Amino acid sequence: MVKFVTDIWDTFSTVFKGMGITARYMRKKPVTQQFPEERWALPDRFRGFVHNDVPRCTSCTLCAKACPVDCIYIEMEGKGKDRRMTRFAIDYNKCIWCSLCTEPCPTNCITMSHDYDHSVYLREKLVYEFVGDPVIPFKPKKAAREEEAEA
Amino acid sequence: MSRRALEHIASEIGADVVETSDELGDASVTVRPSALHRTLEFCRDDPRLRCDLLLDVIGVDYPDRAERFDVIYSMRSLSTGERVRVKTRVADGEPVSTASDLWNSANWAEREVYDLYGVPFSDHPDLRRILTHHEFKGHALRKDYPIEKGQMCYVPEKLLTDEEIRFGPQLYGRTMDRSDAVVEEEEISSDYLTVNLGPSHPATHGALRIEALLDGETIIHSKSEIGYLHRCFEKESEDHTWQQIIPYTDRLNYVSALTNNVGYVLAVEKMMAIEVPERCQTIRVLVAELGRIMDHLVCVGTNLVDIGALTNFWYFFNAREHLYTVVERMCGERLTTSYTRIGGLYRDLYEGFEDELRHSLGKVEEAIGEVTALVQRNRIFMDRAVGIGAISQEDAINWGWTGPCLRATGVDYDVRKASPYGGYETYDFDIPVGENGDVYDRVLCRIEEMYQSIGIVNQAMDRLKPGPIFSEDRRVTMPPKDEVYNSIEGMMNHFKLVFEGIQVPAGEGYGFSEGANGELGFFIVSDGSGNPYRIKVRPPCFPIFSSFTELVKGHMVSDAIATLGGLNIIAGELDR
Ligand code: SF4
Ligand code: SF4
Repeated sequence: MVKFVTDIWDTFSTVFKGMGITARYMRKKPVTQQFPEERWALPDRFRGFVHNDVPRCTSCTLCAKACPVDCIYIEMEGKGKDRRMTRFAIDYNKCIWCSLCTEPCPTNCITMSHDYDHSVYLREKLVYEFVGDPVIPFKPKKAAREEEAEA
Repeated sequence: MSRRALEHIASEIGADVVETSDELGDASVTVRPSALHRTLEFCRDDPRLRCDLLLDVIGVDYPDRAERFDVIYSMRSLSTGERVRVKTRVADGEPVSTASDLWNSANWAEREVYDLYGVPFSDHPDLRRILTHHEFKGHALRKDYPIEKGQMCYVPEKLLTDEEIRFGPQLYGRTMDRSDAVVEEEEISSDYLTVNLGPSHPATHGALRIEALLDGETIIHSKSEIGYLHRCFEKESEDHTWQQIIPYTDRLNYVSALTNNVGYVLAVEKMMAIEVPERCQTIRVLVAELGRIMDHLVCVGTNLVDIGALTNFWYFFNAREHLYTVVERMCGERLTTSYTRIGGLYRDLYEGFEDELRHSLGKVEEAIGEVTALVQRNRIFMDRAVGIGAISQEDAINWGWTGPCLRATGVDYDVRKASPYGGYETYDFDIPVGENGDVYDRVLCRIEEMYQSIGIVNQAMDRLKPGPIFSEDRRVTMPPKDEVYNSIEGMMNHFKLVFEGIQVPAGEGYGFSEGANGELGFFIVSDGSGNPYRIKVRPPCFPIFSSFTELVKGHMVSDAIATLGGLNIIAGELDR
C-alpha cells in the first residue's frame, strides 16, 4: 500500500519536474542556423579543400607519398635543369581531409583551405588541376639567395 | 609476473609447449594444435592465472611457412589485469579445436578467423562467414588475396533455417496453448513470423541486420548478421604506413574518434618504446576523455530516443555541439579528428582552449543534470528499462564484455585502473558500477562516467604546462624545417620518414586502452618494415553484440530495440 502511494507520488512528481525543464526550454532561443544564408565562423585550423600554392611547390612528391588514399597526382617531365612539373592534381572524390599531406611539405605550400561547399554533379569536376602550362619547380635555396641579393 | 604465468603453463602442458616469450610484458606461449584446448582450459581455470576474459582470437598468415597460420587466443585476467596469449600453428586446411565451449565470446571471434583466413574450427557450433558476404570466394586477409580484388555478391543470407522457423516452438522450449484446437504440424509454423530488423533501420544505429522469429510481439529466437560496413580496415592497414593508418582509426568508432586515435598511437609507441613529453601525454588523456564524454552523450541520447524520450536527445546533442566546437577549433575537424601522431599530436592546443572547454563542460554538466532529472525516476522510462536486457556478471564476462556494459553488471573492471596506461594512474577518478546489468543500469553508469570524465579533463587542464608536444625521437618525428634545409642528415631523415614510413621494430605486441565501449585493443605484428605486417583491432562492441541473441530471447521487439541502444553498437567498429 505504501509502495502504491509512493509510486503514484513518484510518477506525478517526475512528470512535473520534466514539464518544468521543458517549460524552461520553451523560453530559450533556438540554436539552429539558417544555412546557407547564415554561416558560422570557421576556426583557423578548419580543414577544408586542400590547396596548393604552385609557385612555391618544389614538386618533391612528399605530399603524394604521405597521402593515405593516394589522391594527389604529380607528373613531371625532363631532368635536371629542364625538369618541369606538368601536372599537380588533387582528386577530392577520394580526399579524406586528414591533413597528412601538409605535414611533410618542405615549403608549406600545400595547405588546408577554408573552402568546403564545392558540391558538383559530376565526379570528374572534383579532380582539381593546379598546373596549366608546365612550371619550373620552386627552388627554396635559389629563392633565398635571390632574396638576399635583392636586399 | 608474465614469466611466472609462463612457468605455470609450461609445467602443466609439458612437452607440447613449442615456444614461450614475454615480449612487452605479455605472456605468450606457442603450443601444438593438439594441446590447444587443454592449455586454454588450464589458463581459464587455474587459480593462479584466472584468465576469465577471452579478448580475441587472432589469425596471422605466414605464406612461406609450412604451418601457414598462427591462431592466437588473447586472454586477460580481470583480477590481475594480466594478459596471456596462447598461440598455435596450423597448416592450410588443418582444423583447430574450438574454444567456444570454454567462452561464448570465442564463437564469433573464431568465425572471423575462419572467414578471413579460412582456418576451420572443429566442433564449432555455427561456423559461417561473418564479416564478408556468404557468397564471397577466398579469404580476404590471406597475404595472397589481392587487396584490390572486389567481388560481386547478390543473394542475401537466410539467417534462420527452415527448420528453425518450422520447429521454433519445440527448439526453443515454447509450447503453444492450443488446447482448444487440433493443429497439424504444418500449421504451427504459420503462427510464427520472421521479421528483419535492419540492415537499414533507424533503431539499429548502423547497418546491421537481425532476423527475429516472433510469436506475436515476443522474440523466440533471433540471429544477427554483421559486415555491412566492412571496409577492410585490417587489410588496408597492411598496405599503408603506420602514420597513414591514423585517419582510418577515426572511422572505427566514429562517435569517439579521439579515443581511438589515442589508443592506436599508444599501441604503436608501445612497440617502439617511445616516451612522449608530459604535455603530449596530458593532452592525450584530456582528448580521450572528451571522446568518451561525446560517445556517452550520443549513446545515452539515442538510447532514450529509442525508448521514446526524444527531447533528451536534443539536450545532449546541444551539449555535444559545444564540445564539438572546441574540438573543431583544436584540430580542424569535428568527427574525423585524426588528432594524434605517432610520437606526438597533430597540433598543440589553441590559445583560449581551457576557458572555452570549461565553458563547454559546464554546458554538458547542465545537460546531464537536466536529462538525469527527466529520466532517472521517470515512471515510463523505468518501466521500459528496468530488468530489460539484463545479464549476470558471469555471463557478461563469458561473452567477453568490457566497458560500461560490463560495469553495469557490477564488475568494477576498467582498463584505466586495472592496467593503467598513458598516465592514468596519476588521475583521481572512480569507476561507477551498476547492479543488475540491465538497460537502466547501463544508462546510469554512462551518465556517472561522464561526470568522472569531466573530472579527469579538469585535472588534466590544471596540469597543462607549456612544453613540447612531440617526442625527440628521430625515428618517428620529422626534424625541424631549418634542419631539413641546411643539413643533409636532416633532409635524409625527413625523406625517409615520408617515403619509407616509420620503422617499427619486428615483433608482436598488444596495445590496449579503455575505449568508450570497453577495451579497445590493437594487436600488432611488425616485420620491421614501414608497413604493419598485421594489425588486429579488438573492437569492444564485437563480443558485446555477439551475445545479442541471448539477451533478447523471450523479450518483446520494443525491448530488443531498447537493449540494442543501450549496448552502444557502433557498426563502423563492429565491422571494421
Ligand atoms: S588531406 Fe589527406 S586525403 Fe586529402 S590530399 Fe591530403 S593527405 Fe590526401
Ligand atoms: S610536398 Fe609541398 S613542395 Fe612537395 S610536391 Fe607536395 S606541395 Fe609541392
